[in-house]
Amino acid sequence: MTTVEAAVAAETERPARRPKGGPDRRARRIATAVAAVLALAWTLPILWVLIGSFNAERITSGTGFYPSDPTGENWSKLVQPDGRAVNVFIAFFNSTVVAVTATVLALVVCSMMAYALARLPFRGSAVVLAAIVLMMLVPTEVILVPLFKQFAALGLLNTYGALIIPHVVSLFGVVLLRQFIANLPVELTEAAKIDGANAWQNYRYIVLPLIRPGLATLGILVFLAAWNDFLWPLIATSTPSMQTLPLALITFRSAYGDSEYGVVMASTILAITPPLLIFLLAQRFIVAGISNTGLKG
Amino acid sequence: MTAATETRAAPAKPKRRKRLTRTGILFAAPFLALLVFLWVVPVVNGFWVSLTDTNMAEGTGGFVGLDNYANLATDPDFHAALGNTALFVVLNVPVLVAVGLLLAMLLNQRLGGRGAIRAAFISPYLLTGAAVAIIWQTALNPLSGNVNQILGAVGLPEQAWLSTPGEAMGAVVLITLWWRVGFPLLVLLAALQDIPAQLYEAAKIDGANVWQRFRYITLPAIAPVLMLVVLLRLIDSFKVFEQVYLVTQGGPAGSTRVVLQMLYESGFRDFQTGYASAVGWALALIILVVTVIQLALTRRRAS
Repeated sequence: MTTVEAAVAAETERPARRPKGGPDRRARRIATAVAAVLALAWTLPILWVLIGSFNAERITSGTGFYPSDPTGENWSKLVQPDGRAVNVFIAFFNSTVVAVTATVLALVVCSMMAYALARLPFRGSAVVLAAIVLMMLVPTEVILVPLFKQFAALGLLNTYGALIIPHVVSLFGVVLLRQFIANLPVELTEAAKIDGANAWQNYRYIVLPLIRPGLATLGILVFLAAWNDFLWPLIATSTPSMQTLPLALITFRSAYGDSEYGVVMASTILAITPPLLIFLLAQRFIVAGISNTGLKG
Repeated sequence: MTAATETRAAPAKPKRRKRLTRTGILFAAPFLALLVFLWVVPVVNGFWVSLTDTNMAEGTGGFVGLDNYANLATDPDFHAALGNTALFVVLNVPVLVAVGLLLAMLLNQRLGGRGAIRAAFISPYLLTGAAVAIIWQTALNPLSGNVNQILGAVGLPEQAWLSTPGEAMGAVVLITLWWRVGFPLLVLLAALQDIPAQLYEAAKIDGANVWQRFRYITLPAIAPVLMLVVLLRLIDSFKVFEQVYLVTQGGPAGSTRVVLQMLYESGFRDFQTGYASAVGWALALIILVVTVIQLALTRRRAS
């Protein structure tokens, strides 16, 4: 929705660029119009849910293109979840704790590993790097069942630990950050070493600040993966109080989808707002992240 | 803590290197420990479990060799799930890559508000599958959904998208297109932007038309990236689960039940852990074979 507004704004305030040949300019206008219409169509389904969350109609999933009977009732019901099976705000809290913790831990653990691989090679580190790249090919689904059994054996099911730990190890993240660190001029770390900095100080005060773009990219990817994950939380939790937002949305849908679809839509908007906000704030890093994922394979 | 050794490094070279190695291992330790716990042990363990008749409900767990795999080969449930998954892959990969490429080429033009337009196409990529399911069930609702209202308004027949066996898979493919197109779009756009504009100018002067410019300049230039995108989409499409499970629950009449849904249900609903592990490994094997074939084709094309 915000993207559409932005599109419209960008469209209207853009002054004509340097004058070009007539047909070229017309082609460009047509291309812009086609792209704008398509882009608008792409955002419509999200817009419909936003509209639906303000609609008082009780018909199953009745939406319409505008709220025929606008009301904030759905949202106020969401805020006062008396006696509901799931409190969306508890799920929101859980998702926030899980995604933020996983992001911080992944950044620390992966960047330390990347630093070791790039600058402190140990015996077998080349083999480890090759193994990491190979493991990127293994579909995670193969390990779903044994992973569940391991967490069950440790008594970690239905804990934040179970939801967080699998997101801390990012194979792609290590490969990405190792590349960033390997590209730094060796003189920087050598100079610091001569000034008496040990490996930790080198890592903390020289390397980390210089690889910020890489850290931002990885951080956003980990945050999104943890925030959006569905299958693993579905397996690793069974109590409503430990549900993350994606699970809560589905529980919500099956409990209230028939009678109060507006509330379901309001909770959906609540769930998708943080990732979209992050996207608007850090588009550059997300674009870099997705493009890199493709090229690293 | 290594500061002392670092500063008086000169006299003891070999010792320093050893120290360096040890520091490296210290830095790597947290990741390596988690890697063993999250990947190495489960991979080995999972393969072992797939050779047993482990059932968490009945408490069995004896070694049965390749029995699970033999059973899979004759299990009509698995055949159906594999067939549905293959259908999804065959439909989804070309649609996603083709639309992604078209949009990338559109966005590679000099457009007004390009950043905002790009954002619109990418934003669904950031949403959780659960939200995507709710968004599209709302839009595709046969009675009140806006898609049918639009179809009705322009005189096309309204559809019961998700409850007609032939159509449900098509709907899932279109939903996946909407959700995931940001990925091929971004990767291919990056590849397109690397093509020097002079190439097109020169071809234009030589009288090459739009198709010729695409066929002989664009396509060869982006071929490696295109092949990579196809490969990644192939792998990803075999692992389709969320959007199917949450939108159609595998229905109607099992027409969209995919392999991962079968794995989830046999492993976590029926507790046939051994069998579910075999399903996972069978899927991994299929993905591996397809990957190798695709890479071989790419290499032959390249040479």
